[in-house]
Amino acid sequence: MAITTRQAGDVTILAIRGKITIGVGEVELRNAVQQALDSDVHQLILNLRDVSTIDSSGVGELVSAYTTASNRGCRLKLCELPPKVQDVLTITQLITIFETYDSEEEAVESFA
Amino acid sequence: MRMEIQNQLFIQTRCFAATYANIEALLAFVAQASHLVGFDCTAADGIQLAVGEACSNIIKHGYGGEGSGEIICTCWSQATALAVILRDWAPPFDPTAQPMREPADPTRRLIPGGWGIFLMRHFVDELYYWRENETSNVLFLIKHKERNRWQSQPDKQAM
Repeated sequence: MAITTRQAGDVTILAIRGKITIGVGEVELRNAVQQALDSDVHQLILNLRDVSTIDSSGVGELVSAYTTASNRGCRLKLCELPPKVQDVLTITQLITIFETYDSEEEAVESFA
Repeated sequence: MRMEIQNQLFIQTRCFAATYANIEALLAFVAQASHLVGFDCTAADGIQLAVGEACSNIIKHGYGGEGSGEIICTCWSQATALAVILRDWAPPFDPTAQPMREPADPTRRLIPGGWGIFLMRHFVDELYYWRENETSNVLFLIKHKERNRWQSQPDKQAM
C-alpha cells in the first residue's frame, strides 16, 4: 500500500493506493491518519480511488480512523469509493456513518 | 477462455503456509477455480473476500498468528457451483459458531472489529465446519451460480 498526502487549503487529503487488508495496509493507514491528526489537521479526506481490495480488517481501520478523528475534533470524509469498497460499506451499513463523495473536488468543497 | 465443464467436476488442491502475505496467492488460486465455473466479476470478488476472511480467521484465531502452520485449499469447480474447502491443523475454531455482527445495530456500528464472519456469510451461499479426527479443521464454503443446491454433496470422508 502507498499513501500520498496533499493539501487543498485547510483540507488534508490522504490518497490511498493498494489493499487495505489484514497484514497489508491496515497499519500504514492507521499511521497515516495518526500522523495527520498529530499535525493538528481538522479536515481530512481519504481518497480511496486506487484501493484495489478491502476486507473486514480494512473496514475496521476505516471505522477506527473515523472515530479517532472525531474524538480529536477532526472531520473525516471519504471520496471516490471503488465499487468493491462501496459494496462492502453498503452491506455492513457503515456507509451511513461516513460522508462520502463521488469526487475529491466535491469532498473538498463540502468543508467550505 | 473458459473451459467447458458441463457435467464435470474439476478438483484442484494446493498447500499454503499460513501467513497473511500468502492469502493473496491462495485467493488467486480460488479465482482460477471461480473462472472455470464462470462466475461474473462481482460474484468472483465476493467468493475471494469470503475465502480471504476465512483464511484470516484461521491464521489469527486458529493458529494464533502467522507462520505456525499450513492451510490446504481445495477447489471443486462444477458447472453450477464452486466449493472451496480449507483445511488447517490449528486448535478447533468454528467460525460458524461465532456470534455474527448485525449491521442494523446502531449501538455497535462504531466498534471496528467483527465483520469477518458477517462478510463470509454474506458472500457465499453455504458454510460448513467440522473437526476431523481431532486433528484438523475443515471449512467448506459453497457459492452457486444460481442458488441451486450443490449437485452432489461431497463425501466428507473423501476429503
